[in-house]
Amino acid sequence: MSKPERNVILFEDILARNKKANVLFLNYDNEAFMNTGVQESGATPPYASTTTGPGGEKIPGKIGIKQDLVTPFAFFGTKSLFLATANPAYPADFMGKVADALKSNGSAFIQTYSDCMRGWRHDAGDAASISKLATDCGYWPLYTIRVKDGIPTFSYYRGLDIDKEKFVEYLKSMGKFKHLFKPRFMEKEIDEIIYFTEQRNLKLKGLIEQFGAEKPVDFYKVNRRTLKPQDHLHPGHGLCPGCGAGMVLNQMATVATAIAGNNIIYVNNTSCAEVSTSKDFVGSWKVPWVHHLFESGATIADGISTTYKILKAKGLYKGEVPYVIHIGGDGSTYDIGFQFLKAALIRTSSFVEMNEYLANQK
Amino acid sequence: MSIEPMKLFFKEIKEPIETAMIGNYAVAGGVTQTDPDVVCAFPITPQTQSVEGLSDVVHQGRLKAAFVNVESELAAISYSTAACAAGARTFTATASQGYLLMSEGLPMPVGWRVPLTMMISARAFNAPNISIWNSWEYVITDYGWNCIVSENVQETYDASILSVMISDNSLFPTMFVHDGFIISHSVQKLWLTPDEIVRNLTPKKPRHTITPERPGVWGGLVTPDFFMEGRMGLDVAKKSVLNVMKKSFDEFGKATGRHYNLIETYNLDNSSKTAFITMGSMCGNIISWMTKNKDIGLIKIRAYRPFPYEELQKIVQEHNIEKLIILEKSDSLNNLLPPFSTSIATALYPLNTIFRSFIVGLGGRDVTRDEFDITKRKMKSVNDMKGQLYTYLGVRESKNKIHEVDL
Repeated sequence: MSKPERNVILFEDILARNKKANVLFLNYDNEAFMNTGVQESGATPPYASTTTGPGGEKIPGKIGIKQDLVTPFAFFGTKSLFLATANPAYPADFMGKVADALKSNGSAFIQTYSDCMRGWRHDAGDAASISKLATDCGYWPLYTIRVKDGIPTFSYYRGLDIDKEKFVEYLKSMGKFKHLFKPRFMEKEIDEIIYFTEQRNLKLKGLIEQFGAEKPVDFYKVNRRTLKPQDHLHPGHGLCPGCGAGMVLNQMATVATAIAGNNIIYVNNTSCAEVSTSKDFVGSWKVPWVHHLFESGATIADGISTTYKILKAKGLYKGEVPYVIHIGGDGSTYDIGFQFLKAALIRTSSFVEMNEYLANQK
Repeated sequence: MSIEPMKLFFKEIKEPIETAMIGNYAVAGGVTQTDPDVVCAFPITPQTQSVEGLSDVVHQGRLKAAFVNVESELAAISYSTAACAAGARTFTATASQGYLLMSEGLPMPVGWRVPLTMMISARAFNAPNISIWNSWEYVITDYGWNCIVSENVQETYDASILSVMISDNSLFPTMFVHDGFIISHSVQKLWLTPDEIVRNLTPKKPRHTITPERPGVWGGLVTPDFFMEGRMGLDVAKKSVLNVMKKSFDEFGKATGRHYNLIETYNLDNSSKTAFITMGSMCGNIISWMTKNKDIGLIKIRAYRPFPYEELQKIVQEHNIEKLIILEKSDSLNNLLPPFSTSIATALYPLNTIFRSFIVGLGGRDVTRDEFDITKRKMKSVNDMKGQLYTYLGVRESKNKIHEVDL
């Protein structure tokens, strides 16, 4: 088989596009309820130790699967939807995807890997290398799905092949899997984690085969030196040293600054990023930022975006409709917030046409 | 497909129109006239036709608004709160279980001071059975919303306009309530107000919104050092709302000729110095019963939240009312009194007025004139505040026996 062709996407080309997302929904996945103290969530991988599913002598951590959150959205039959996984350890890919999402019509959902050194039990200094390893070992593949008129088109960047050696190294690097190695080597459980990851990747490869783009490898070219530092978040915030969400917010805001300037509204579900950037009168945000409930953020983001469009259509708002980014942790996307995310994603992904109706009304 | 009764609202209403329609469509029409920008709700009987009517005026092009169907009531209240905070005049509606499901989102528009309006078609909530018929579910919780209660279709139509005025002028969300089915689904006569007058009564005013022009944090985390200041700030701000309501009632009365008060009274200077106190659709029935029972009066609460306790005290004192018969369509399994009666009792505390509370009409049961007779008779022998202060009325105990009633 010949080498799959690369689709090189230049950041400048994305910026030049005359398109705009209604809402970008961004899930930073740290694989447990970290904000409340490392409780198990739908995003927790099998056999990971959490405070509500500790790696015990009889039961070795989480019994269950890590839900696949992104691919099912590809098959809801939406009109215009951008879906992707990302990893801040691959900043060019991450930033390219955020830009691509914001500059695509309809709506977008990006699920990004987000290291949590406290919850995963490793040194703060290891965050970047562990994040990189996650994709390199095949645990966190980086792929993109562009849905147009109900048909998904899959493409990928890397991380679809399992490297077993690296995978074991990945598991060993974190305290949350320590019980699988000591005091007894739990071969069956380790094999099972790898097996289920492999099965998921097989499914992805199958989807790429069936719904793949002509050039299936997306390669974002972002010259970070030409980008101005982000202007949305003050440097002061309460995130832990080495927090993956910090990397996510910084890279996201850099792209958002380049695209939206300050014409942007952020919505945050209850999560680490929420509590650590909004405390008392020392909020970290330089742009409007909204927190409503644990689960409702996606709906709030949709509501704000639609409001600006209808006010503009009625002549009650003169400015440019602002960009809206919704940030949620895994609880507010996988679990309690799923209903809201799913519905808002589908509403906003077909609202392009609805806007035309609104604009044409006299 | 257009909804027949809504057709009246498709043309500019230039003169007052006398017509007849059900409460829900009357509300849909009234809301249309206030020119909302966003309408968002989830269907639940008996609320549904109000939003059906609104979707009709939007989809037929009469009203320029975003009509958004969401996936649940918690999403509806979240969406509406966000839209209103972002600057849209926003309407939503619900009932019963929907109101309970909204609960988590109900305190937020109060905390954010957004002038949202919501219609409630009052309906029982499930336990031990599902009932889609009328009870007062809205009195069991209080998250700081303004609340006005309507007796008939005319009042609920007017309330749909008044609520926008009250919300905009107080910057607190307002719910307006009519009894499910009894008002929401019954055809009654009413006068429609000309569009021009509604426009003048409900101008869109600038206010603080979520906007890039004024960056700020909405709903962020506060430590124990700050939370109480926020709560007390809301309480202080609430103090002026009854005055805002009064002014809105006055302004509305001057413009339309239909005058309302926080509390309305009938025949209070009667020989028995006794009066009913209640709200909603029962009042009309009591008033017609009173034509043959001139020895008893009626106090009708129109503004339920904030509770107009000073006005109530003044009324009871000025008319030397000695006994009050509270009629309430909700119960409390734990408290000394059901919720509405608790508010009345708190207001009456310094006055030593004697009262009893009668729980009637739960789950849509008819409240009959016989029951008014019975409460009147029972009240004659009540001369103190001892024993249980409430009783259920109109409940079947056995085949030939109604609870606490000798036939």
